[in-house]
Amino acid sequence: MSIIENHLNQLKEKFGVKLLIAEISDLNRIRLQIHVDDVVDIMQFVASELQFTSLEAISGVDYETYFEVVYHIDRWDGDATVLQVHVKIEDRENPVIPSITSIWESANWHERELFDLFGIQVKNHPNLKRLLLPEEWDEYEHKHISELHPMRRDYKLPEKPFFFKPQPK
Amino acid sequence: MRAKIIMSEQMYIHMGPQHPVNHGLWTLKVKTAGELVVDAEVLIGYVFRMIEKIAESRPYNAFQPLTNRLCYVSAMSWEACYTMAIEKLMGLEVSKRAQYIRTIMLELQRIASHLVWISAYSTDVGVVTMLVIAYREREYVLDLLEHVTGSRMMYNYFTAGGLRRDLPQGFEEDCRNLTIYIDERIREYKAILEDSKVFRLRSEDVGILNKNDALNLGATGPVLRASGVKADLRRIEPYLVYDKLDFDIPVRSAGDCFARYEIRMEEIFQSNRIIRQALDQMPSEGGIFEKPPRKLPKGDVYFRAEDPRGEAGFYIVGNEDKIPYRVKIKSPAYSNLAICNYILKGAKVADIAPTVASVDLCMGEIDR
Repeated sequence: MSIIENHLNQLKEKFGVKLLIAEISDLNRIRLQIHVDDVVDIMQFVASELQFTSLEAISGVDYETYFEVVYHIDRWDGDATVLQVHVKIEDRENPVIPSITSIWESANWHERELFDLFGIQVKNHPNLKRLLLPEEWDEYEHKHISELHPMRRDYKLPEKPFFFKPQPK
Repeated sequence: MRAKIIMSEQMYIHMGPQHPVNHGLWTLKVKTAGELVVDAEVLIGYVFRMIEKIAESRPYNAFQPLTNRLCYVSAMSWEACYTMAIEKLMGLEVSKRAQYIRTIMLELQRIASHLVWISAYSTDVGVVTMLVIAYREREYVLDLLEHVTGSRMMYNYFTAGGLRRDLPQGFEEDCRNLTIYIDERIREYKAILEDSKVFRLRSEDVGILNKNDALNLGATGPVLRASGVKADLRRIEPYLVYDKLDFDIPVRSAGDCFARYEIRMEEIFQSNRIIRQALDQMPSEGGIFEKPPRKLPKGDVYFRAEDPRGEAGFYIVGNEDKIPYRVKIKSPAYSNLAICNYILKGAKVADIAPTVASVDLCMGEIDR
């Protein structure tokens, strides 16, 4: 059995039906789809038992009817396996995802970016505020509500060139 | 007595957005107690251009010139990463000759990028002589790249399916001579820097990052290898022709700024070795371009490549359209800058400059 199959079997043994999708999708890539409630449990297992020591990226994807958050997790010291974990968030009005900063410190900025650009609330995050846009971005003058979270699909590009005008408090 | 009270008071210092330490626009907010850094916070977003959103509004090949603008010091490696991610999503294989040329170009870019780092870093720690010396050698590398691509910095040379133009006449000889010349020069740099007292004092045991922290904080590239992890994607997950070439991966266990410097110096030697081998093995005939399909297939891909700064990655979602549905850029400098929030705690104020410079920042790819 190769190393990558070994990882997949350990995950299947431990979590069983909680893994909605678990397959080897490509060379060195394991694709998992899990429920929002199981994120912390599964990530804890992945970090401590399977020794995936490093989180590479957290990407948000807006599929118009739902959000998807994709985690890429890597183990540098061992093999080239990358775990690609998809988490679906059905609730578009009030999207929430648990924070994994307690497991991998590097998640800190990635989760802030997720909150900043997609408006996904990260539960239990130590320092949840905007990262790339200005911290007081909500108080600026906006033409459209979608400007608050510009990576969402309903963001409209402004018709005339933009300039930012902070409002007096 | 009064002086004592003032010394024990805590003070905030804003380093940035324009500060000699920063090499770009960002702010380092440090809380100090006397000479000691109690807390540090990095604020970014000054050159946020929403490149990921622009990618969702134009065909995949029209977005490719913009990937050059992610980092002005290593533009080639970013366009390579994007092109190879698109090719992996399409299942496209480029010809052998194109693969060898790409490898040579990427290694030349790595040398140019590391030379910029050496000049910037040694200036920050006080060896100002190196500022111009390293730029002189970089200019030769850029001349060679300009000869091939027609541009000094923003190359736009790679394209999905191959390369835009073939190598010019006499390139192979020039390139081989350049690698030998740079090998000699790097030995000279090592002599200049390692004999310099100020360089050693400000680099050794400064900005220490141990192995577990480096992994947990998400360090990549030379920073991770300086902390004792043998992590190089050219070996772990070979792309292009790296599996056919013989080269070493330098690893140090000290985890300080001096180890990061040693790693980068060693990498320049290894890049020269790679270029010479690739020139020997490269087939002299053969096509370099094959027309790619117009539309991206449905599905997603995560492709990663070894940038001079570490692991660069693209997560691309295709939707049977020529416009990509989502492009996520994983930047190595972003991960490495986030570390500064942690490793500056407990350091001296004077150590901020070497620590920040040693991770090799480029704001274009951090803010995107």
